Amino acid sequence: VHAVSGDAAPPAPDDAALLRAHRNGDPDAFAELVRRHRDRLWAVALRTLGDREEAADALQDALLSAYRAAERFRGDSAVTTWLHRIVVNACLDRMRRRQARPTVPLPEVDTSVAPAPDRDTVLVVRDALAQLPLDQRAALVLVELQGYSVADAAEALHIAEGTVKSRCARGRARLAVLLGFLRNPPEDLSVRSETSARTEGA
Amino acid sequence: MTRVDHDLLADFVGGALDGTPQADEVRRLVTDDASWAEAYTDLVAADSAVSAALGEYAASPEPMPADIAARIEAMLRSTAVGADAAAGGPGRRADAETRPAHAGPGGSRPEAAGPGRTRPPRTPLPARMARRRKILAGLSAVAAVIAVGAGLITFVPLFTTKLGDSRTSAADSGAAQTAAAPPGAGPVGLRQIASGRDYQAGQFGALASGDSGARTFGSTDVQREGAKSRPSAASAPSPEAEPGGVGIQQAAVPPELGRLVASEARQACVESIRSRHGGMATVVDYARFAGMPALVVLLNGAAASGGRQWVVVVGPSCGSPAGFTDERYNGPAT
Repeated sequence: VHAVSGDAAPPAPDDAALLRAHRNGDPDAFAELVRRHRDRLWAVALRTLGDREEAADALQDALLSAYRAAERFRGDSAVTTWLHRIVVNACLDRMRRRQARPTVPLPEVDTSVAPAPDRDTVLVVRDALAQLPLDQRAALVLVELQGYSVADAAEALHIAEGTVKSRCARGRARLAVLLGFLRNPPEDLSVRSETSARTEGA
Repeated sequence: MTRVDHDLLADFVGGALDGTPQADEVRRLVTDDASWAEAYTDLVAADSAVSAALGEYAASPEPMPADIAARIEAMLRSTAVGADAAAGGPGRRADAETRPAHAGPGGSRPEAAGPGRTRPPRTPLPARMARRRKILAGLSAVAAVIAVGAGLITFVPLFTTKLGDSRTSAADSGAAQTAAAPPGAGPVGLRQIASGRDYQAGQFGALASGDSGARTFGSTDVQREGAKSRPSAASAPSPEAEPGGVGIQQAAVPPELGRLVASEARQACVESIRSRHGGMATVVDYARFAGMPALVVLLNGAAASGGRQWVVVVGPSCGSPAGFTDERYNGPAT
């Protein structure tokens, strides 16, 4: 027999309610929203940037931006999609900035990379992912690693669904080379990051 | 046999061409052309292996490390405090009647609504003031330590800074700092200059060697050099116009960096940099980096420096909120 308590805790507010509460002045609502999703947001930042400190800074930038931009959230998408979009954009901004830094060079593409039996697959994949062009990586992180639908990823990245598919497909092909899964890796496998116009909006 | 377009083939395999004429074209090539057929077979097999590898990576947990979670929480707390102090910030249009009850997991606010209760009106002013006082008390303690150090350099001309600090409100930061620190003085050994330079990556040798004008420029020189490169800088905040100000080269400070001229803001920025890179700041230059307004900070003993002087370039938001560096670049001071 279970005692029925009249003081049962009410259901936790959903994300939209927390964001509304933040907009209305609740000083803890936004932090609660972040607490709820921080691991996924962190994973996106870390896997996109491939560097712990860069990811931390990008996430901090993004959350500060989201905190201040909450007034402009119109509810057209899920709060998590909105947050992820801001995080991805902060990562892209930071990555572009980093590409101009000589002290933190991007790793050189090494097509001789092959999975060594004594190396952890996760580390091998992470390293290979870090060698992809940024836009391919961002699409792959959202769709393949974070489980976004193509439509949601397209919304988060502000690109057409066909472009998401193309970036993922080309990123996967590139990974196949980097991970040594292709019997005869083509030397000319392009790392072009943008799909051609024919697939835009497909 | 035709040359295989691997990007096009990847698009085909990945479904990016579905519903387009190119899909039919690639399908025909895969069927009729031996090179395309072989490449297709290889790619499909490899793609399956890529899926498995990505799946394994995706399944590996990636929780936010505790130190970063704490850093984020601290940032949000300080941002909330800052917003509380500023009119019109997000969430400051409190309407007690319409605010929803808050009982989310992890909520630790003492005044949070309990089960079945509505959230009380906005935290009473005295309580908020007490909370803010608590925070400011901590800041004041830090400021007092810095002020003592700043007082020492009154007698050390070499370290006399060139920019004023009088913008900080004594009421906000505690009396200790403004009472003890001479106008224009910063922490011990921290030189402040406004060189007017537009730095580029790897071109910090002049700053490191002291040739940027920090010691040799008189006020007029610095102002002229800054004004030369940025006519718009005349709109920069004017510390010298405030009581206690000294001869300041505010015209050389990019307007976007005006906030960082105030000692409290600059100290918060330097502390944020120090907590990330270690070492001690010796020079701050209100300048530009790659054309953008930037505070260029020279560090001694930075963690990654290997004994060399190290440069950290930060943007106008450095130190706000606490711990945020708004970093644009870091590298050897060469």
